[in-house]
Amino acid sequence: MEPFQVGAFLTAGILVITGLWAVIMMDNILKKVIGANLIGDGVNLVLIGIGYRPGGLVPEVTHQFHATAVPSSFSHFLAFNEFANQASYSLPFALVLTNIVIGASTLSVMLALSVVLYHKYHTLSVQKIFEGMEEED
Amino acid sequence: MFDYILLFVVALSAVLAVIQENLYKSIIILGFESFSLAAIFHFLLATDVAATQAILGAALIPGLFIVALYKTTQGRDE
Amino acid sequence: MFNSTLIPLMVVFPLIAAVLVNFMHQKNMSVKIIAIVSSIVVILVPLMTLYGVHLFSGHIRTESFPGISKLLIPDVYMGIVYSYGALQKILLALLTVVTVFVVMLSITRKLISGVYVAMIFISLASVSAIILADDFFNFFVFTEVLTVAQAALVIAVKETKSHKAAFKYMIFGNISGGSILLGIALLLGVYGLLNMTDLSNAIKAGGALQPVALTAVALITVGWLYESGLFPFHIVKSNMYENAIPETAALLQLQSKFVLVAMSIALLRIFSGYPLLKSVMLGFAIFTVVIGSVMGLQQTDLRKLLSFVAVGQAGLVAMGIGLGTPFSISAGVFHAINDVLSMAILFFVAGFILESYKTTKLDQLGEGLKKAPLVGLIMFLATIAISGVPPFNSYQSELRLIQSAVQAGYPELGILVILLSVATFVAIIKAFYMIFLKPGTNIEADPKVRGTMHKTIIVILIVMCLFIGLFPNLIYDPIYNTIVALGV
Repeated sequence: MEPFQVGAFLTAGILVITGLWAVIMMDNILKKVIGANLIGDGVNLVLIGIGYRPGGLVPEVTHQFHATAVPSSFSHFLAFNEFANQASYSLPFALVLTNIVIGASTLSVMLALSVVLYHKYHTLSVQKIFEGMEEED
Repeated sequence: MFDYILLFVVALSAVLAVIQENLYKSIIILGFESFSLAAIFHFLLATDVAATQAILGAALIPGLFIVALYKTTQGRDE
Repeated sequence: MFNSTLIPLMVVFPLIAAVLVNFMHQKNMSVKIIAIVSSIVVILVPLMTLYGVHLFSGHIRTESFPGISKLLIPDVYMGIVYSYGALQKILLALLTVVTVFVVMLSITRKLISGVYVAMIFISLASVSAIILADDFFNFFVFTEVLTVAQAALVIAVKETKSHKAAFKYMIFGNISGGSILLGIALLLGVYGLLNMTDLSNAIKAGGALQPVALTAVALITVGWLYESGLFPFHIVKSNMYENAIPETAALLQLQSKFVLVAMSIALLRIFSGYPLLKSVMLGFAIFTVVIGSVMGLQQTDLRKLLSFVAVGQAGLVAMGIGLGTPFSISAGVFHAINDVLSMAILFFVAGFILESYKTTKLDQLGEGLKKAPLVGLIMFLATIAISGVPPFNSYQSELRLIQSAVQAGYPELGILVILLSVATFVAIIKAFYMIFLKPGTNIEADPKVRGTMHKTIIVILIVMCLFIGLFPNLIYDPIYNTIVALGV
């Protein structure tokens, strides 16, 4: 565990806790949505911090690493096992890309809902909007 | 050294974005925090993810927030 | 070769149908034709597919080089895997049948909405993928898609109550989605694997769970509690059921119960040697059973009453699964299958009442037998079906639940099952009396509403309940064999 990785995990923990606090304790609806976004950011940072190898290569594979390529045509690139030994772990990057898009789409639906609720109640305060939730008919 | 400063900046701006009373300032700080997070992704050797996070987190999501904020506090219809 | 294209077709085809129907929004004839054709295909595909495993992009199971990669098992799956067995076939067959019924009911209204039918198809694709998936991250993506699709189905009612219910649902959905993904990330960091079969082998081979993996179990259990609507998320789920159109609420409760079954079997497979997980599941399930029955007895609105009964029955399914022995897990899964059929009948009856009388408040309804005697009879039969009276289906499953509870050493849980079924019976029979038998009504029924499609569907469903009740081993034996073979 490198020091930068430990620092990244700690920052991710701060992001998740801040987001959770914002979702539970804040009164404004838009602050709750900001908190939900921060939770997603924290989880993404954990995912990317897992595969870090200090001083390593960025794992962008070019098309010359195809199985039928001839070694003499790309002699200035590394061989594949040298590349795999020094690059960072790239599986979590796919998970993070998907998660960023999921977070953006759920955030847009929640923002649209808060705009509609504002037009009905003329306030952004959660207490006033949800106060009659149990006794309503 | 610069990467540790960035980690601290991300944590601090996240807390500030939640505490801040004025919603416009809060959204700008959120955009800044997303952009710093993209820089941290680059230092963690994930440049493609950094590009995606920079576009979405610094341009698209604050844009959506500002549209929602405009429609809820400024655009008083009827 | 042909079979291996049919397994992902169960997820891909509803998505394609959703895109087409969405594109044809506001052209009613095209929406109807596409919806009917897609419904026929969607019912036939699970019945025609043979059992097997589908490997996406042909990535086969290969050696994992344990010396270099430090993985704990000798061979791993290299890609995304979908597995289709007897349990998945039964669940998918029922899911597609009830979804097709709901689609039929949605397209016979005057104002058909292409977007609404598209959301129903997207939720069908998500639940199919959740049942079929053997890859943990694919599973997570489809739970997020399901959250958005279900929220969209409730938003479409266009009342303020439904907007509030959908907003609460999405906020909690975001928290629980983040929790599941954090658990997956921690498991990936410790074991280096995402496939559920490989994870269960690695955790069995690795000895006791490390503290990081324990945190992952806790986080994924929080996500499981939200997806199935157990305590403390029961209020959010029951708000969703009561604010949706009742036919769609029948679909929502079916999806929640099947996601409960699929996710808890996945959890028990992966963390099989860890007894605290089963105790935690059992504890939350008991809370849900008690709260669901108590709150269901107090309600004066038909849809609220049915939604709390649905939540309580989901707690009963989770109780069966949380007891842990193969007998009780298969009894729980069998009870989920029986319960969704009876609750679907009750929700369809509520939809018919809403369409005829424009309200579902119990004190304003009455003398329903004059207008719709067949619906009243079927509601009475569904009430005794859901309460566990022979010869209907819940009798068989509750009998097995009580027997498994006694065998596992907890006879008190058998008494809890009986108490829940008594409470369910009292709550719904009160609603039946106030709708159909009570003299004097304040509201006139709409005489133009004949509801032939409703009546046909609930007759088909009650015949299915009777059939499963008379021949339970047709469905129970494959489930039991699958659970024993999984080794949970």
